[in-house]
Amino acid sequence: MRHPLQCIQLCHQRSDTGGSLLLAAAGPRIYLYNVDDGALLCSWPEISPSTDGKNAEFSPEAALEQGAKREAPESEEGPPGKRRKVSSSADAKVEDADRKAKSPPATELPAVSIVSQSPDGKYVVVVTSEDKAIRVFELLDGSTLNALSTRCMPKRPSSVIVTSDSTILCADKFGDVYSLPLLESEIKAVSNSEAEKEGDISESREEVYVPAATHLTVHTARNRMALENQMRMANKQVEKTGPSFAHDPIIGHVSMLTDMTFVTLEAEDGKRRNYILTADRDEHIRISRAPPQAHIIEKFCFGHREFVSKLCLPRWQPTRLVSGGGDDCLFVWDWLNGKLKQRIDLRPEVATALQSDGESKNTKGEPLQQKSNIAVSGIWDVSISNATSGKSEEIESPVRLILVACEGVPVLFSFSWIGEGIAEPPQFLNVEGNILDVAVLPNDSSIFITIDSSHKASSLTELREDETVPGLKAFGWSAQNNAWTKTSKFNNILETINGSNGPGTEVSPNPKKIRELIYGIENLRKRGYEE
Amino acid sequence: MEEAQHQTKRQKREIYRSSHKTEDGSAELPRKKFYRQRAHANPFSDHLLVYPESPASMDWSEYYPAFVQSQQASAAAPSEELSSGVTSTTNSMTKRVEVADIGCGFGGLLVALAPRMPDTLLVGMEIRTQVTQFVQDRIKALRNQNPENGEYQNIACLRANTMKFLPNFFDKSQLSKIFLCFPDPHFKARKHKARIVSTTLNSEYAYVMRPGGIVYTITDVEDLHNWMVRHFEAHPSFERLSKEEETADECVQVMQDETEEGKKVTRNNGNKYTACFRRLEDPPWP
Ligand SMILES: C[S@@+](CC[C@H](N)C(=O)[O-])C[C@H]1O[C@@H](n2cnc3c(N)ncnc32)[C@H](O)[C@@H]1O
Repeated sequence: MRHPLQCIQLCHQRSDTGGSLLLAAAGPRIYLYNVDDGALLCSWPEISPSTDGKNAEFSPEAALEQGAKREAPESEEGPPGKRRKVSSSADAKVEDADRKAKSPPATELPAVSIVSQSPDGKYVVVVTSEDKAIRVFELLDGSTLNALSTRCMPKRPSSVIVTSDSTILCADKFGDVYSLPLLESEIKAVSNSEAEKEGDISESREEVYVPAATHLTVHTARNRMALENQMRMANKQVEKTGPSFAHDPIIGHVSMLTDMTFVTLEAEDGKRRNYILTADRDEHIRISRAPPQAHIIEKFCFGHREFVSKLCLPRWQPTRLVSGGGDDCLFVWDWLNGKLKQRIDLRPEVATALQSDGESKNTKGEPLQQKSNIAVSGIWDVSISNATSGKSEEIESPVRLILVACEGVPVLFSFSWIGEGIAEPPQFLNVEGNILDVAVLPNDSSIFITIDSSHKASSLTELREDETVPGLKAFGWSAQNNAWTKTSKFNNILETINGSNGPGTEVSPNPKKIRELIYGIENLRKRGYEE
Repeated sequence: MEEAQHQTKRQKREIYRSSHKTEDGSAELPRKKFYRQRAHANPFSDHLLVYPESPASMDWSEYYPAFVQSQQASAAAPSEELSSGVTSTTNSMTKRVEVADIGCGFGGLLVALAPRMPDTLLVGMEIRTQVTQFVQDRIKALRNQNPENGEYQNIACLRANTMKFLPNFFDKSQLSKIFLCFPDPHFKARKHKARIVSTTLNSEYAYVMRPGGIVYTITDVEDLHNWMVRHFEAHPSFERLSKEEETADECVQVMQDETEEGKKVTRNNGNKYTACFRRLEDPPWP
């Protein structure tokens, strides 16, 4: 079994040849691809051929970095005292031999839960789940991810946004939103003696850096050296930045935050106003001003009766909000006024989707029963300008779509947006597995979809017997048919990613961990309520 | 054993309650010992709470029957807004709630304020079921004792976790006063988010309060007092009242003397720390 691609994201930056770049995350790793030729440009953490035996794939970047590490082993290894500093946990004193003996599988690396980027596309921000870390990368020359910093948050991030003023907004599962600088100028290699002086720093900081790999996962001396360097760097960063998390959050719910969006609107006076919208497990959608006035709550959007899990502001009309969660419907809001404009019933769509989906259902007939609950797992806005039709007989308005995915449903619902709202019914885009993520190529009127290739379609628990289902799919919008259709435009990247050396093949994944990573939405439902 | 004891306790309680029959117009005040409950409730957990989907869907009429508008007057104008399935009921009240006693306990403050603010609706909000029931029975009995003058018609108590659902009950700028009297201290540092005062919760208090409205706080725990002062003073939507303003406010004295906790502290000769904060106007957008 290979690990499914839990997140995909098209970079705002382009490759040196002007092509699109796709970021994909499979388990603990992120990969950067050139969409045009399908080439793998870079991956993180670097793939070590010795641990991940069957896969000999090497990113140029990783190779380069390892080369650099080989050149200067002395300076990076440092004196023994430094090494102790690096692994601040108790097992630091364990001998190398013991470490090898207790070697856990490479699946112990923390899984990537969120991939985000700065509006200018220069920076990629990744959240890893188990260590609650926000990791900032610089995207260099449209081809290389350069790790800049790792900051461990007090609680698990559930949504991360980079604003145009280089601030990271991080919403977490404890209900708080923190604001932190994208780049911290003081993140520089701290000299060893300095680090030693700050003796009691481990008490003052809230979280200790948890390395992406441990000593137990990397076997060759060269890789261990690389890892130690990585840990050392990360620890220094945390030591430097950790205490800054002690300051108060800018927004807080006494609930679990599930999603967040940031938007700038132009007010009547022509000034720009920034808003933060936060959604929680207790049915709330809250509208706050953005910093420096994040203490002002402007409105609530009331109407959800179950948890809210996803927010989407259509880019063509950002004063509207589409939200979804544990209710049977989608909601469309005039959010500035807290007014509900539309409620779109998803129940018939989901029922049809599950019925129309292949044989597995008909044999047992149970998935429909299981799906008595609907959990919206994704909402995406797509705007397709009809530049293709050059004839000026009619000025065609762009095609506007709201795409909706529900947890454990192998159909993407594609709603048209007409006028000020959603038009029913949606088109069904059938895929062979449960939908995990969608990435929109704005200029190509195309989308990528990742599906769960580990579990059977319509099931959150049953593993597939066949291993052949490709995890990445591509569809193009056909203006003639007014529908999504299969496209051969992206065969190169589909081949690389879905091929036998594609992402997710380096580690043999643990099904339970996969499930926790990709199917967390329905778990937000409150159980005590049935009484 | 414990189970059995619990059973009999509950049975006693039920026998007492059914014989007490405040519904039928009893004027006998309820007795606290039949409403005992664990001292603390977890504000983070999913209690089986009932709360309105939105302030518009909150039905206040059962809480303040004397303030329900006559039928014709309340014929609501058809709203163009998509209603969320529940018919709006706020229209049918002649007044809106303006004062909230958060964590009201056994309701001493409400009962003391009722005759002092006869034209204002006050609500006590309490997370513990038994305690809420006690206050509700207490108010019914008081109303039944005063059928002619209509006293105590302006107070009510409902069960709520205010830390999660305050905005479900009140619109923006609806309240003129909030009381936070002797809140649970939650000593552990890790539990600070469980405190009823924090920078982020203060934003919610600011949201439901109108500019010029006052938050009243009192506690016998000096650390908690300092904590509340620090967090309200640090919040840009609030400014602390001067000591002169505080003493000039009748509510401060009532809060010191009439809350159950306040009385307890007096009996034990303990200290009471008070602080009041004014809700400021929101600044213009930057
Ligand atoms: C120490 S008592 C004070 C009672 C009353 N204010 C007095 O002064 O006598 C604190 C009360 O707050 C209630 N409480 C605690 N957290 C609450 C919450 N989140 N929502 C509503 N009530 C809460 C407790 O159940 C308790 O009755």
